[in-house]
Amino acid sequence: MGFLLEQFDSALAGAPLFIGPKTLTRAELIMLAKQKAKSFKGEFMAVSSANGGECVADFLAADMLSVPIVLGGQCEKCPSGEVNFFTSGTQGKPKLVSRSWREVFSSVKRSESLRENVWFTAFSPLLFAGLQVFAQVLVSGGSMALSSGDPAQDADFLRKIKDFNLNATPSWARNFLIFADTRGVFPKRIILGGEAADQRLLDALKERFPLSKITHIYATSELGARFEVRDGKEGIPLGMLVKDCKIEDSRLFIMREGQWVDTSDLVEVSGGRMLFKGRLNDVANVGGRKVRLQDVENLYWGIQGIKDLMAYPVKNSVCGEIVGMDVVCDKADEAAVGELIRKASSQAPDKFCTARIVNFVRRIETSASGKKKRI
Amino acid sequence: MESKIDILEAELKAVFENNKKVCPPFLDDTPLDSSFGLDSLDWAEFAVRYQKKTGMDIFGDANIRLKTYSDLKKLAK
Repeated sequence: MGFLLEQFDSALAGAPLFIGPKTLTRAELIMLAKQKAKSFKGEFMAVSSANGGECVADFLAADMLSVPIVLGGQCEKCPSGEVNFFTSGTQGKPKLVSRSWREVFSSVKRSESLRENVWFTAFSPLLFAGLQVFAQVLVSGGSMALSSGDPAQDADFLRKIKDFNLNATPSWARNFLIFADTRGVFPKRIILGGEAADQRLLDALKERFPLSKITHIYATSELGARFEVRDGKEGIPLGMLVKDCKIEDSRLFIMREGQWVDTSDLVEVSGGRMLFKGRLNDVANVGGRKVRLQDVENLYWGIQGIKDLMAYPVKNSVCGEIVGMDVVCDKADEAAVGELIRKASSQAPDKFCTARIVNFVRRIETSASGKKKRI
Repeated sequence: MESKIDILEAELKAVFENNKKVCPPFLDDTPLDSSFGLDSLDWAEFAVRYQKKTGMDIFGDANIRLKTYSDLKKLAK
């Protein structure tokens, strides 16, 4: 029996593992996994179903057969690790990363207080973040439900659940606040990850869900979860950074297996905290000047009526790139918001750091991993 | 249907307006030097806007030489 099946066997029984459009109990998942194992041929199992229950049955079948799994894509040769997945690609082309199930489960909290919790997640089990939610659910004996991708539909579903834990990216949470009627929705915990959570979002969540405990986590596919911040403030308190971390050239480096790993996260120390200032690659090259897209966004965030925004580079033959920006606001406010954007641009101290092309959109586009899709 | 020259004028005006600059008259002999009022970022914005409307990268040819507004109109044709 593999590590995953051991975990499955020792997990607290009772609650179904998957709820939502189709509820699957633990016993049903094992049955499904046995059927899959029986008909399986090959060296490794490629798991690509968007259905959470199907994914988990594939994981279990692979464990029964002692073959590796590859999540969310194909690879040419059989990988060496038990769990092989592609990084979200925020640092360029997605990379295939190998882990053991033991490593995936290493950050799971084993606590009676988490028993029979419902975990509602915007992360697919095909991604590392979703895999960690699955591991947590499995060990704590709870149930898992996946976001439909439609905020209104998700709110309808969540209204029927007494309380639940919500795992999502900040972009997902922002969309949820904008587009869902959240009356009657009561998350017990809100856990944000995958992108930096800014103060505006943390404050907005606190205002909408005053009884929820809000945590933001710093984790990467390669390094796992490193910091968990629960004080309702953006950034990471410097006290958490004493071990295995350093900041060089405004970049965060983290130690993994004796090697410094460049996270490509741009950071700044201010007020006793490390604040995230964007990704190394989240820049536009405007006439040879590297402009941080987050700095551009920050110029406009305070404008009344703006609900969400995203800056991105736009190529041109004159100066390489300029900055474009998608803005979400009410249709009726577009003219007023547009004028305020123009005013902010004309008064900006650095005209390179302004959005030159502004589009009003219904929602900000996100990638499969729920992060802002800038390029 | 709007002609390319109409689009050229409309997008140039939008760039002036967006950046709160005074728009000069678009006459054939209007010089496109600094007296015209646009800097390189403004021209880049214009190029992106124009391309979005017409699909044409108006400054795509690296060998172009623009002196007056009529040169710009020729590029747009």
